[in-house]
Amino acid sequence: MITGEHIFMDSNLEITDRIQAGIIILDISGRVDAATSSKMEEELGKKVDSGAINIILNLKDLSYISSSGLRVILASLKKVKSSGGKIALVSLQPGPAEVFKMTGFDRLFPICDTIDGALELFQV
Amino acid sequence: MTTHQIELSDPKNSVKILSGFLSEVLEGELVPFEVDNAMQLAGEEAIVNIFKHGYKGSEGPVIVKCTIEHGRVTLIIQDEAPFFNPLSLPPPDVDAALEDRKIGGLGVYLIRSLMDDVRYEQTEKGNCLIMEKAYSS
Repeated sequence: MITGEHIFMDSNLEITDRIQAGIIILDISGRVDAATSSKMEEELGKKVDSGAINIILNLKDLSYISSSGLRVILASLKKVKSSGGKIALVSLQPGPAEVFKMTGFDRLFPICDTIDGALELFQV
Repeated sequence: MTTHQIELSDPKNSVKILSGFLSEVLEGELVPFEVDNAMQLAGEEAIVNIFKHGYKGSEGPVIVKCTIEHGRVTLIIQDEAPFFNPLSLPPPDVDAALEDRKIGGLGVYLIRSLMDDVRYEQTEKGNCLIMEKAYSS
């Protein structure tokens, strides 16, 4: 187990990053709304711009996501997909899960119950 | 019946203020979590569109009224922006493949999907969106 590093934190959103089995994992806690999505865009963008194409978003502690957050992760998915990568989502909570289902995002992203399950997706 | 009201004006802090306001009102009335979450989403999507498109990123008055009565939450959002009916927007294709998916355009779709009833009215000064959702307590 590798302890993650806080890369962003405010009262509503906390993002931690770590690497496990060579895959970048972003732990996203709190709310991704129109007020906080720019921070997620920045942090996710840094990973993608640095060449990461396989990313796991651990959403175990994500309580809320609005269309501003969906926009950010869809844009990132389009970028990594064009380089042959993917973004997997882990441990969606009921509120965000309903939003993902309603918008068809559950068909664009693999959704796993555990980090280990998501890591298996990236094994060649 | 009690109507709770808040006035927003600054696009930079309105989402946070609205979220705090709705949390306090809905939790105080013991509204179930999933309805609380849906009202928060509908409210956020509505005001984000008003500030972004109606007021073009500038400040402007937005009045939010929240009423809870007989297991039904009603959220009324009024602005003084140019007339625009957000319900006239075509729905996004949520079944499209990734390469064809457009980024954005999901806000009004989420409002329509999450609410039991959504209505738009023109007012003397601008626009009014009425969003309702029922729950069993």
